[in-house]
Amino acid sequence: MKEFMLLFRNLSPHEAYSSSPEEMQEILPKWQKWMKELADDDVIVATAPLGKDGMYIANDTVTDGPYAEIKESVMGYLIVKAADVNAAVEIGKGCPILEDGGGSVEVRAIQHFEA
Amino acid sequence: MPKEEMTVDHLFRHESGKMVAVLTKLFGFDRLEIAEDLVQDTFIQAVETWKIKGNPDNPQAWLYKVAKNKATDYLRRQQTRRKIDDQLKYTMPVEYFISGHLEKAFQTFDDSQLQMLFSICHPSIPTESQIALALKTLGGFGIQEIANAFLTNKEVINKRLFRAKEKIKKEQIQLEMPAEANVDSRLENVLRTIYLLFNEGYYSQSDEAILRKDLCLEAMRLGLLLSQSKLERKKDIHALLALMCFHASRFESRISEGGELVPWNQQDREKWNIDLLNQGQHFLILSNPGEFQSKYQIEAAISYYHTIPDSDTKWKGLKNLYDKLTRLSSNPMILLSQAFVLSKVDSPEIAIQFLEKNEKVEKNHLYHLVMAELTEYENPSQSLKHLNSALEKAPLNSERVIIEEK
Repeated sequence: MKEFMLLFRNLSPHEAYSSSPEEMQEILPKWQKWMKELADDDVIVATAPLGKDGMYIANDTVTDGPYAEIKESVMGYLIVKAADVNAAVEIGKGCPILEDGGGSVEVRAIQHFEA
Repeated sequence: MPKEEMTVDHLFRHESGKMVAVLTKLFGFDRLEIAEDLVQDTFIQAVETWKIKGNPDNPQAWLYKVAKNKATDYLRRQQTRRKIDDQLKYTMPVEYFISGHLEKAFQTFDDSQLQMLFSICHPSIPTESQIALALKTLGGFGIQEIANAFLTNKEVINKRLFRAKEKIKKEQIQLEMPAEANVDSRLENVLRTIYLLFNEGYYSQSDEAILRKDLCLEAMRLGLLLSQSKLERKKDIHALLALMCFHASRFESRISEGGELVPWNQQDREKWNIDLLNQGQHFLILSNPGEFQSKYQIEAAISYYHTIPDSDTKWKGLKNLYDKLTRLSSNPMILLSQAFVLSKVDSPEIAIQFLEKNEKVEKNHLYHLVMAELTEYENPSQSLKHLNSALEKAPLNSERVIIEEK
């Protein structure tokens, strides 16, 4: 088994953190259901959603994130155990962030250093 | 505080309510006082015995056993089985019933507490008496504590309790769930009592922070009791729980280190309690109506919005919800919040017009605070005037400090 990191991105990061109660009632149970399925399959290594605020370091300057200008941002991550990249992609396809068309999932293999 | 006393204190808060409920079920609601006395006696005996002999291994079991013996004595003295559960009345001697069932009943208390809650919220008992009685019998609060929480004295609370107990006798209110057809309307009363209890804790003008938090926790505990019950209609129960969780998540951040109240938009979000926020979301999802219609559902959705970052969606959503809410019920606090939302969605001018033309707006310190904020940029001198008026009218020291800072 290898490990893969799934990065969840959303096209409108600012709005994504401010869903209405109606949307929240719709979205959250989907994530809960998905996470439960993955937990039942015992493929989760680690996962967490990311908070809205963050810092941005580049060219010797630190800013509190140009989030209003950037097109998309990482909302959360999930590290899974999978046989190969195709199996990891199959897992990623179930992610609720893909449902409204605005979000994306990037699947990357985790490279462990040889001891 | 010595360890023994702390334990008894803690046990009293947690155990006395259910013990009283179980015993009252046995004796009859009109003999609530006897059940209370008996439980009180049990705890006094606990303090005295444990001081000498040390704490027993299982303090709860000790309490149940002593209370059971006292109940048996009492019933034996009464020489009557008048109030004993009808099903068992003719089939079993008192002692047998008690020894077999009472200790078990103490352990599976939820039903009797629920019945107690519904009976206390009987429409013929005045609301303030309901709250006092719920705190005393279900929450194990002392008369002095209740008096402190309501900024009044022991006599007033005693009167409220007395009035409730009189009604119970006069109207022959039974300790039981209302008939099927009346459950929904009684549930309304129960929810309102819990809601008021929570608000009393959350917005109380008493300076005793710990006590206020205890009131809120008791309200939440009763809400949980309802949500775990077999009641069928739970939308409003879950909405009320969501509302309480969202508010309670800000317990730590709304009071500054110096003890002053911090407005929610200036609070340190890092200090918000994530578990309670998640619980709030959980209950909001359970309350799922698709559309927010009842007062509790709308207020839960509003308090959810206050937990997420500012955005157009948020302010527009809030405007919509406040429009709905004011159609159901309105008070000066709601109108002020509505005006604040209007200033965000439309403009401060429209918000000011809204407040000025509305007769229901009370011109208290909160009104002046909102007005000061609305006029801050366009008319700074007017804004300062409103701040001064707010300062004059603020009832709490902690509030005056914030206003002075501005």
